[in-house]
Amino acid sequence: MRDYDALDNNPHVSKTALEALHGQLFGWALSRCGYDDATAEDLMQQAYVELLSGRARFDNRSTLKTFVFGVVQNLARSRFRRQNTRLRLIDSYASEQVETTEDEHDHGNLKVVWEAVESLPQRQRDITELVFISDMTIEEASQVMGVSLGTGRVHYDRAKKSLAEKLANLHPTESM
Amino acid sequence: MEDEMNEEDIQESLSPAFEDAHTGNTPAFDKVWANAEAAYSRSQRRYRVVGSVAAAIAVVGIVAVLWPAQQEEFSDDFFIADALMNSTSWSAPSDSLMPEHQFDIYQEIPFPGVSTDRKEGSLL
Repeated sequence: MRDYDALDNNPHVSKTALEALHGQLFGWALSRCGYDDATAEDLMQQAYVELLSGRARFDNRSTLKTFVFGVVQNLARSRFRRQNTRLRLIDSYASEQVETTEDEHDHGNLKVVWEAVESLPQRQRDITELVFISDMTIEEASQVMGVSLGTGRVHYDRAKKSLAEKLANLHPTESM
Repeated sequence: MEDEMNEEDIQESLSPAFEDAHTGNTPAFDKVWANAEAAYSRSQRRYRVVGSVAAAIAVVGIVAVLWPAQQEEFSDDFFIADALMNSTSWSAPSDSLMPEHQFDIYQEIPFPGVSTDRKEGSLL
């Protein structure tokens, strides 16, 4: 059944459903553009335009969350593909911002966690965020990233192993 | 021997870090949505304007291409008809092939064996 606030060009997408995903989606958009608020907001707006126009058309083949995260991922990818210089600048800005964030908090653990996350290769970082932060399954995360489930699993396992090693000191584990 | 961190431990460690990076700056949905709708209607309007201009240019182009040909065709017909209508004499194109005689050979040169005597203005 069509929702009362379904989009004209995207009958399976409702404004209410998008609003419910908005916060999580913004987090994902932020991480796509080096934690720059303005760029992330722009990316979100662009994603909503894609949905409004029907250029990105949801056909219920996945969850709406997976689909919308995928739209943001693809937009970010196409936007930054030809802007390597800018991407490098954003990367450096992101690392600066992480340091600023760390300065604001005297929470030393955050620094260790961020360093662990930042040290991961991009794909592993992406799947880490999608699975651990956005509560997606590996299959959903793989769809968003545009990789096969097998590849997604490999990235996930490697990321988990790497994070477990780097974050082990934060979680004092019980001795056997 | 130490146990490896499990998924819950990793999630527990990562969540505060990501939340910290995402804090407090999420723009209101209504604002982003309104901007998206405005951008969409702007692009629609732009498409309509560009479409109309392209259609107008196409029409002008087609007319510009077809009009002179039609005009030329019309003027040829007009001038040919006009010339014919205005002419007081007409000569066949083959007339130039005929020798220009200064006398009427039928009137002036008698057939052999035919009398050249005239009676009442006619040859006998």
